[in-house]
Amino acid sequence: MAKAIPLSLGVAFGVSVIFWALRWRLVAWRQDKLFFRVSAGVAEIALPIAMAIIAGLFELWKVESWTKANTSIGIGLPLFALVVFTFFGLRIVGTVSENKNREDLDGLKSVLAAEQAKSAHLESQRDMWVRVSTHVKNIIANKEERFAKLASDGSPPGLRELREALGPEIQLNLILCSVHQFFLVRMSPSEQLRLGLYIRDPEDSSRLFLVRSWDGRKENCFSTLSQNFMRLDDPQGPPSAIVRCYHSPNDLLLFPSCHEEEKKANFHFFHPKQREYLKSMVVYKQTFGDAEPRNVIILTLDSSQEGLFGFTYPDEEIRQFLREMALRLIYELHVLAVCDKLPMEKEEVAGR
Amino acid sequence: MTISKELVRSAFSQPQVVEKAARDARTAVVRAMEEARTAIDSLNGQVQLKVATTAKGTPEAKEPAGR
Repeated sequence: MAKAIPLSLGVAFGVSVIFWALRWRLVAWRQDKLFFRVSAGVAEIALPIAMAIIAGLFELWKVESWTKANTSIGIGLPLFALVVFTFFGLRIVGTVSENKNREDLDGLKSVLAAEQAKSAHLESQRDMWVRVSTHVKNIIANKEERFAKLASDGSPPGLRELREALGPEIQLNLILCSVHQFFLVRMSPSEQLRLGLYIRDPEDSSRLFLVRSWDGRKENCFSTLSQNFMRLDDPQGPPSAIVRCYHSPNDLLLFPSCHEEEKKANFHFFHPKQREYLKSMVVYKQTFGDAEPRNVIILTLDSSQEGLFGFTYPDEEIRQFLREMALRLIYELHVLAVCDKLPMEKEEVAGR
Repeated sequence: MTISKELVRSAFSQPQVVEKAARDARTAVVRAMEEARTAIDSLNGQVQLKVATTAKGTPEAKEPAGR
């Protein structure tokens, strides 16, 4: 018996040491998780109590019933207790590790999903900018060719040659046709697409003035009726999407389905026949200059193809593309105004 | 910008210029789309190569050849 007491205490001490080591590992793994901190705390409190009870019971049991028993029992029981506690200890550690791994895996999965979504978004943005920049490059290439030709000529260019190389009329038409063509290529051949360019009327600043309309074949494809809806100070409110865009803080108004927007009182047809061919529309405005009221150009595109704008072409691509094109239109309008002031122009006009 | 209605209108009312612009625009847009497609394919190829290189480890991290 005298041998069994220190032995059982020694075993209890050994088991405690193992559990303390396990507890230490547990806390070291994941101190940030409440579950692990609580598990470790419970183990910490429960372990000495459990060991004290087991050792006490073991001693009492031996004193009362097993005084004559072989000391091997005194060794066997603590060993058994050691195996049992090690088993449960390992189970605890295994469960804790499994939970930890599952949590880590779930966390990694959500991080991966977020990264994939971010990557897909960045990729689509990148592709959009590549498309927009290649279109812009090809428009500028036209003018660049004219200037390259001028530069390669031996004689110094005169005003007329410079004027022709600048060619604002060519550039303005090219930009507008390119805008039209950009959207046309993804359309069904049977559908129509019309483009309009508006500026503030130089003679009446309370009106928008239609500079050009184009459907790919003919000009002036808008009905004259639409001009009646271009007043910027209409007291009845602006029924025209173009006038609404002018007053809107947004630079882009998008109507994927004009019929659906009409049901929501968000879109108005100028006349009933428009319902047949006006099914999707976009309006983009670009302000410029410091003068008040602000100068503005407005580009409109409407199509008989439902969902062309907003579905076939996402709004961000439309906005960036039209923005780049509108800025180049403004630049060419400035060039046109400057060219109009050239003395050569005046001499030519006088000589005509 | 002071620009008269007549001047702006005149810029868009020259039939030869309009016709040429329409032709040039068709060519320019087709060319731009081809260029964009090529550029995007090239960028995607670079990304895939980068991903593959990262997955395998950088050349510096590998053991030198011949060992």
